[in-house]
Parts: sequence; structure tokens; C-alpha cells
Amino acid sequence: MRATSSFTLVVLAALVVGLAIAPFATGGLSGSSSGTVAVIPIEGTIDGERTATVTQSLETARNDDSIVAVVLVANSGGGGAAASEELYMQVQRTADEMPVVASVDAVAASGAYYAIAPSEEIYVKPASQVGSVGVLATLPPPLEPNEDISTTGPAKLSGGEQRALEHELETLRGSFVNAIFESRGDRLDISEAELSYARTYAGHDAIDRGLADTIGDRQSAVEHAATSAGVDQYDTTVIRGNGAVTFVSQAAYVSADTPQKESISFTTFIGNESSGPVVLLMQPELVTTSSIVHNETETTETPIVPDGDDDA
Amino acid sequence: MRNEPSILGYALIFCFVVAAVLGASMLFAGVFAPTQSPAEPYDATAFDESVRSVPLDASGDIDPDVDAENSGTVLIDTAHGNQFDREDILPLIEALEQQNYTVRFHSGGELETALAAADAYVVIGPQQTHSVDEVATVESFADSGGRVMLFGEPDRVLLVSDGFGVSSIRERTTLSGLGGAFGMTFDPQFVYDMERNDGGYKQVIATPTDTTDISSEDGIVLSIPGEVRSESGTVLLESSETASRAGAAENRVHSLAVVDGNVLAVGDSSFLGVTRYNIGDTNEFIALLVEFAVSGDRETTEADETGDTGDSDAGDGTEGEDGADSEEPVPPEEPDDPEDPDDPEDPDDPDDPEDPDDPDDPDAPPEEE
Repeated sequence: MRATSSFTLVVLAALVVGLAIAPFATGGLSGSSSGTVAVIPIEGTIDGERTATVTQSLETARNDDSIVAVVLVANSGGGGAAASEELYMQVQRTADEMPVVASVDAVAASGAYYAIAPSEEIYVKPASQVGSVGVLATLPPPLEPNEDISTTGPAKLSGGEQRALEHELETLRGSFVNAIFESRGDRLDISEAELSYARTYAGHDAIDRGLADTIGDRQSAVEHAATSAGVDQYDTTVIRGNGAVTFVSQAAYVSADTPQKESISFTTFIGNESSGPVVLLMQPELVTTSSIVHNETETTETPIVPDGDDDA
Repeated sequence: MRNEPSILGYALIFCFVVAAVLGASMLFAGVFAPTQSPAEPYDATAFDESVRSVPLDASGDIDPDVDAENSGTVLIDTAHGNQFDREDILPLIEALEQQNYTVRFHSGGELETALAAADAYVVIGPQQTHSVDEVATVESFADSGGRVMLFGEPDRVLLVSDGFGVSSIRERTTLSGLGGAFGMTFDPQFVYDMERNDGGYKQVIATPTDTTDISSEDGIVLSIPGEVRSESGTVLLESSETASRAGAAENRVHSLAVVDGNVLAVGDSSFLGVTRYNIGDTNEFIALLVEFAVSGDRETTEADETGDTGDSDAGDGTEGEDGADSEEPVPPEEPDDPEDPDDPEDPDDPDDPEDPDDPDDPDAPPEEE
């Protein structure tokens, strides 16, 4: 019995010691480092819900010690202005902590391009569309004076005068352009004025102007991210929120590989009877003639009256 | 007989238990402890003050330098589907009236008769062309010393929902005939400036040329202007060299206002409105327009003194001298759609209250003899 007890003790001691030094031993033997590359989709229209999902994914990546790099897979025509700005800030915050690389599917335009701008490398395909660096807004129709709605200020219904709105939009444009220049720096081969034209560029044209870096697929982006993180061996994990992803951009919708996707109308963003301005960072082709129209009977009275019955 | 563990054995067991307890504790703490620690503040350098769009000052007055003893009449065309409302040109009207000039609106009838009483004729954004006879009349008016001011607008697109779907309508001012008579052309494409603007590329800051004697630091702000050219005239306003014409790739200086003798043309009228007339130094350019309008040397006829000016209305909201009701001196600015059965300017519309041929319309002008 004594021999058995001694044997047990020795085994236990060996287990403890072995487990304790095992990580060091395996690492030392292989001579390699490892980690996980998180793939986070920025897909569909960028609204508050989509931004919250991506923000949570980025937070998860930042707080998980096993994640060494992030790859943003972009497939979006943009969305709300504030939601897009929030994404830009979250991606920039993540890029300050670990390598962030972007891979563009069909489109990363306007607010979506804003979001991926802080990436250290942007991979595009020849058919990918990027750019559309600009802001659009529906202008509030003149509603004052009226005797149907009581307000405490002349700008309560409209939000402000048209000229003030024009300058606010111009400030947003300046912020957008400035953010792109801060993020892309010397890689850009385009003037601020030319960038502000808000054109979209296909893959090679985007690379020529420095809006993207390399033609490549998603795997290329993952490998670049892993290499940049300094790991030889890596796993990938996709961090994607639940629920259906909504698309206004038909190109992005067709290209999307998300399990649940839904095509929605542009009027989801501008509403049917909104009186105040709605500021968006969306690619221009999403604004279809069926989305923003002049009501023929009120052409001079109501400059922009959206028609909500038609799909984009 | 049971053998007791040695001291070493007890020590190992002790160490093992302690290690197990510590390990479990650390695991528990790791699972239930907060996962985040305060992060560094966001570095918002991309959004500093330098990106803010600062509006130009808008506080100046229209202060023309004219002879206070002069007086006369300025006739403003409203007979050609002109695209403006009273408030769109109110600063100009008030500035003219402050110089003892009467502003009258010509909504129909013989133009020659109406012009006989006028010192200046103003045409703003017409959507119906002047007839050959009317063009000849205006030419004769200018030849006799009358001042002519033409305000054009580039083409604009309206998206219209009419119950059968959505279509686009191109609003177009028709000054080619009248302007062409004086060697002036209005470009239908708009001019924009990505760099020198006031609140966006469509709000172009123009610079007065030396011809104007306007010393302007802020510039004259035109809203979606079109280029206007003159064969033999002089440029009054020009864009900066960073401006472009829609559809053209090049940046260059564009002429936005010209003068040739008694005829002055501007590629915009939006700057005349109450919300834009004094942005930057725009009020100084309007003062120049007032000076131009009241400085003609045309002699009015006897008929002028009687106020027999056809179907014209005084612009001060009072009844015109010809008896026409002038409380609504400016026609509506709806685009003229010939297919629209409700078009108030449709001459064939029997329900049109403003149809000049409608015998039941109490405000209809008298039939021409």
C-alpha cells in the first residue's frame, strides 16, 4: 500500500508540473506564435442596429486576448451619417490596438467606405465599388407658418434654415474627407476637391487613386492581417450578429453571403412624411426617382416629398 | 497494517490542494469579473475645428449711389411664366423704390405699350419665349436708352410624381431669343465650385471685375448659377478658376454676369431673394444693378405719364394705374406643363381663373383692339 500511495503522489506531482510547463514547452519546441483573426462583416445598410452589432463585434475582438487581428468584410452602400461616423471611430479605435484589414465585396461606398478607412490595407476586387465620399440630405419643406401644429420656435418643424443646413452638410463633408486623408495619408493620389466630387471607383481605379491598396480576395486579407499581427499559425473566427441584414443597394444584396438578408426601400431612411432634414452617407444611385420626388401639385410649396410606396 | 504518507507526501498533497484552490479561484474570478477596463479617450483629430464650414457674414444693406432727385419706372416681366415669387426679388424691389422708382409688373398685354412708360425692363427666369415682335420691342427700348436686365437660370431637374409613376421634368429658362438679340447667351449647364463656395459647391462665390468698381473681400454669392457670355460686352462677375461647368472636366474662370451697353445679364436670380441678398458682398452687386436700372437716358412719352402701360401692376401692392388688381402682382412659379389639365397658364383651360381670355374672369385684362 505504501508503494501505491507513493506512486500516486509522484503521478500527481508530475501532472502538476507537466501541466504547468506544457505551454512553454510546446511553444518552445515549435518556435511559432499563434492567434485568431476575427472576420467581422460590415454589410447591409448602416443604421443604428447594424452599427451596434459591428461595434459589439469589434469590442469582442479588442477584449479577447486570443484575437490578434481583424478583417472587415465590407459589402454596403452606406447609411445614416451618425451611424457611419460611429463605425469609423470604432474601427479606428480597434486599429489602434491591432491590425485591421478590409476586404471589399461588391461595394463599400460612402458610409461603408468611411467605416473601413482606418484599415491598414484595403483589398478590392476588380468589380468592387468604393468611394462616394459625400453627404446627402433631404431638405425640410417649408411648413411655417401654419395653424395646425403649435410650436415654440420657427425652426422647430424644419430644424433650421436651408443655408444653415447647407453649411452643416459642408462641415460633415469636410469631416468625412479629412478622416479619409488622415486614414489613408500619403497613399492617396487624389485632391480633396476631387475626392469631394463623391464619385465611386471600381477596383483598379480605386487603387490608382489610393482609395484601396490591392486586388485580392477575402483570404488574402486574412493572411495579410495574420502576417501583420506577427503570427505564423492562426485560426479564423467570424463574429457576426444575429438577425437579418437589410440592403438598399441591390449590388450589395446580390453579393451578400449573409444567412439572412432582406432588400428594403430607400424610404426606410428618409421616411414618408419627414419634415426635418435626414442626413445620410449613402451612395448616390440608391436615391432613385421613386424615392425622392416632387409632388406635382405642391412643386413650389414642398420641394421634396418622398414617395414611400416604391422599392429602391 | 496501513503505511502513513511521509512528510514529503503530505507536502505534495498540500501543494496540490493549494494549487487546485488557487486555480479554481482564478478561473472563477476570470469568468465573473468585468471584462473591460477604461479605454483611452477617442482621438478625434479628424474632426477638429478646421473642417467646419463657416458661413460668410450676411448683414450688409443695399446702398446704391444714385441721384436722389431721379425717379421713374422699372417694369418687371411676369408674362412669360417667370420663375420667381415676390419674396424672391423683394430686396431689389425695395431698393428700387427707395430710389423713388416705381416697380410695376407686366403680366400680359402689349409689351410695347407697357415699356413706353418704363425706364428699365427686367426679365427673370422666363419659361416662355418672347415673341419676335416682343424681342424687337425690347431691342428698340434698349436702343432708345432704356435699361434691360436679364436674369437667367441653368436648367434644373424636377422629379414629379403624378399618380402614374415618377418622371423628371427639366425646368428651362428661355432667354436665348431675347438674350441672343443682344449678343448674349445663357448656358443651360450650371456652374459649381468645389473650393470657393459658401456652404457647398452650388453656392458659388463670384468676384466682381474691375469694371464694377466693387471692392469685395468676401465675394458675391450666386446660387446654382449658369454661365452667361456676351459677344461684345464686358464681364461684371466671374467665378474663380476652381469652378467647373456641369458635365465638363476642366476647371476655369466662368463669366457669370455681363453688361453690353444698356443690357445687363446675370446667370442667376436666386441671390435677389430675402435669404441670400446680403451674403458676403452680394448686396453691393445688387446696388450696382439698381444703379444700372435707374441710370438710363431714355425719354418717356406723353402716354407714359398717363400710366397707360398695358396690363401692368404696381409692385407696391396697390392698385395699378390701369385699374388692374395688383395685390398678387407676381404669377405663380409653377412649371409650365402643357399636359397638365390644372395648369393655370393653360390658355385652353376653361376653369383657369387667370385665363386672360376667360370672359367670366373679373380680373381678365381688356381685350386688345
